[in-house]
Amino acid sequence: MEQKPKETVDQDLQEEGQFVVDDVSKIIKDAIENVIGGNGYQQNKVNNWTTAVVEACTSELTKLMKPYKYIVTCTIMQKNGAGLHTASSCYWDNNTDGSCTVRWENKTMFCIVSVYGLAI
Amino acid sequence: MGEREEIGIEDAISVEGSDLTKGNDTEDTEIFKEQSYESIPALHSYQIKPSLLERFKADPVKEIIRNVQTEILTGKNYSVDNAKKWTSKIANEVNARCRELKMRRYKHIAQVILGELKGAGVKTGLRCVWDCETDGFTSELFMNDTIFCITIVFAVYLY
Repeated sequence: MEQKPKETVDQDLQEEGQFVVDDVSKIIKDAIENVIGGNGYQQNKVNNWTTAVVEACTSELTKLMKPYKYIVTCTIMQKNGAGLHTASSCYWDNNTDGSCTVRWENKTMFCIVSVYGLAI
Repeated sequence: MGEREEIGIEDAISVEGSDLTKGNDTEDTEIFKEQSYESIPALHSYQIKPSLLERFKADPVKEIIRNVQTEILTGKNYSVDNAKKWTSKIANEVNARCRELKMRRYKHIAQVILGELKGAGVKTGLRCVWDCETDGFTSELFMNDTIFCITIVFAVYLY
């Protein structure tokens, strides 16, 4: 009986101290769908789209109420036959920090969103 | 502590009545010194903010990014196999050189976006939830006839 509350407390502390990739991945996918959803690439609207995706992600991430600092980057590229590569190299604490990158596409464009979470 | 004080008082009384004042005086002063040493509060401190000198400086990092990009990409044309290698090479190289800067208590992330110039439109945006006073980022764009390369370095302070 006495052990159970201790276990739950330890679990909570563990969850707080870990970057959960699945939750973050879901948040990113929802944000992209809501903003870009069924649209085609339009040069005059891309500016707003990147800002909107990034803002949606940050607001949802802060709602998780975890002791983390977040960095969200979004790249939207027109489908033109050109190639695009991304890479990242990080100097951090592997136990507590993490990243999540989501690649989304439709007929006219690609969208790559990366979220880095760093523990405080 | 209480016992020592009692001993001191007794010694003081005996000193007044005896010729051995010098010896007893030193004993008293020694005890006195011990008491005063213990009464100084110990200073426990933990740095929660970087000082102005230790804060993230964007310029040296920008230099590093520029140098690495020009070293690896000048005179090259886009090819699928090489592009993969170049992106990871640039990221690792920038990371290694930032580590040499020895920014105390800073974690850093280097992100590289490399693409082919074929007339396609590209837009990159970023947003960060962090502490503006301690954290920061720099970015640098490299372009030649067939390649564009954006490298961003984020620096986050560890409390």
